Amino acid sequence: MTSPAVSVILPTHNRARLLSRAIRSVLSQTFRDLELIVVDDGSTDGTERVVKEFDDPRLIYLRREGRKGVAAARNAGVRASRAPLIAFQDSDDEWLIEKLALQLEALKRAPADTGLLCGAYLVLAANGRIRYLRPTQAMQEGTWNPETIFGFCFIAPTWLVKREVLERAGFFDESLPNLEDWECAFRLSRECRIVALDQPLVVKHGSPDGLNEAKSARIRSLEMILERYGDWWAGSPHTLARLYSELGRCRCLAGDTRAGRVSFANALRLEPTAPKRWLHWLAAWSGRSGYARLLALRS
Amino acid sequence: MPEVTVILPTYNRADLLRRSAGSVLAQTFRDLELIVVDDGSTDDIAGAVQALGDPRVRCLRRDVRGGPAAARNTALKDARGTYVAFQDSDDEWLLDKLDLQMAATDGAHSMVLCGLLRRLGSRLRPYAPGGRKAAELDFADVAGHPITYTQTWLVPREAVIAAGGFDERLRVWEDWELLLRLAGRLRIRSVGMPLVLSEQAMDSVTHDNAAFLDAMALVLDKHGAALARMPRQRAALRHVQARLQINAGCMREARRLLINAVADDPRRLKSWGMLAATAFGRGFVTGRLRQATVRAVETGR
Repeated sequence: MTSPAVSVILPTHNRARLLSRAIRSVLSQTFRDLELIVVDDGSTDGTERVVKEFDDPRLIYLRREGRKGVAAARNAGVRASRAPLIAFQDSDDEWLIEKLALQLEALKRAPADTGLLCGAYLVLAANGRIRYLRPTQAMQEGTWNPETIFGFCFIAPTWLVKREVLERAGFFDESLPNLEDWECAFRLSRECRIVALDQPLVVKHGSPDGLNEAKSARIRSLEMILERYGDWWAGSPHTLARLYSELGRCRCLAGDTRAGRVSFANALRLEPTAPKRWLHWLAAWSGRSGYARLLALRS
Repeated sequence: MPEVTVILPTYNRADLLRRSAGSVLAQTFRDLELIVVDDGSTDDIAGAVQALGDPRVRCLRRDVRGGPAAARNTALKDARGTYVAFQDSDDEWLLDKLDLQMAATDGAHSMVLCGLLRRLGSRLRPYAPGGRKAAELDFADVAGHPITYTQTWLVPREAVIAAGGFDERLRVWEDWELLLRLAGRLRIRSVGMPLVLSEQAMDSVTHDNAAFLDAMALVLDKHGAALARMPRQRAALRHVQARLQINAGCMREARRLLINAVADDPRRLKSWGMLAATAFGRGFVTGRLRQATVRAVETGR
């Protein structure tokens, strides 16, 4: 049996209610030649029943016992997949209906050393707030540098990646509880060109649950990434400063304003002329709620 | 009998159907029928509909092109759903749209709107009737701004039929005018969230100023009685008329309309400002104002 053109990997854990929208957005793509591998990462909420309701031969259900996390689940899906091109979907997101068609078309026109395509996406919060994240000109041309890698969020649901490139770079790091797609993108950037389409491809729906868990996971991941790649940005103090700022922001929101101030201080040492960062550092003195109020004022 | 009939009029653009019709057929809410109205196209719309491969979609052909109002009315006669929704041939629905709107409806006495994201070039601009969060609207809320998008509607079919369908005399604003009639008989709710992605081509070259003028005159006439009780809304509409008249070069008429507007609503500073500007003659106010007027009437910005 010949392999499909694209393998789509969808890891899921206890999202039975939202899952059918995510699955439907893949199976309804205008580009049809795909397989969709749903990797059930130890769900206990009837996820299997939701998946089995779909009557589509392109849908494959992979059950894993015990919860190992998104990175491990995606990797298991990649190992089970066949196609030369791989895409990812998250269980609470939806793909716009022409995502694959647009990316495949762009891949034909892109430079030959392009290995990963991503694109613009929308974030719809539960309170109706919309953010539209678009790539910069440099990202659209694929003339990336460490600065641009940080500036644009490489969320996995926007990816279309060549299997051989992913294999050379290594799959997702299973030790990272969060930002595993972003970290994988760094490694990919050393193997290939990354191009971003200036077209909306994915709608990310904000999910209100699990936020505290996500916060501490993000902090741990940022710390690990800084440790692992700190010297990669040695020549780019601006990027390093932004990373420390992000770490400071997350730490303050999680309640540890003391550690947050340390991070902001690190950032300011690298880049002292950043007035907004000074404000953040100052706000961090007023504790978690004071800091949160500052952020609310800004948005 | 399906719960929802979705009506999609199209004039050519068969290549866009996979996206517009596809996003309707991919809805998480499954109990629907989709009627694609081929409004006198030269493209093979029937073939494109067939290629969608879904038993819930069918094609109705109008041999003579009648425009969106006539095309939608044609489909309304053939519709069987309890509710009706509309789609444009170059738009895309987010997959939960019908689910969320159906959850917000309370039967035969309300219609449900949602938000919409307009793609202008590479930017996205949100449109949210009643604001970002879920809200209730009434006639006064919809009367003052001649902007609505049928792609955001979910309305009981009986109510549309009883109201008489779209007014085919209108070349533009036929959707807004029907909304005014519906607002008189239904509660209007909005789910707030944007659930439609709309491509907006804003073309000031082909902007048909006369069509907008005719339409506004007709609406003000038809809904004169209701609007007489709503001076603020009527003033806002007079202001729009005045801008259209300025575009047409009729400064005297524009001034008369602006005077009417401030008589209705003396706190309408914009109209005072426009009135003052007209004293300087046509050349002063046109140019950028024309662009802004076109943008305002065509896309609601």
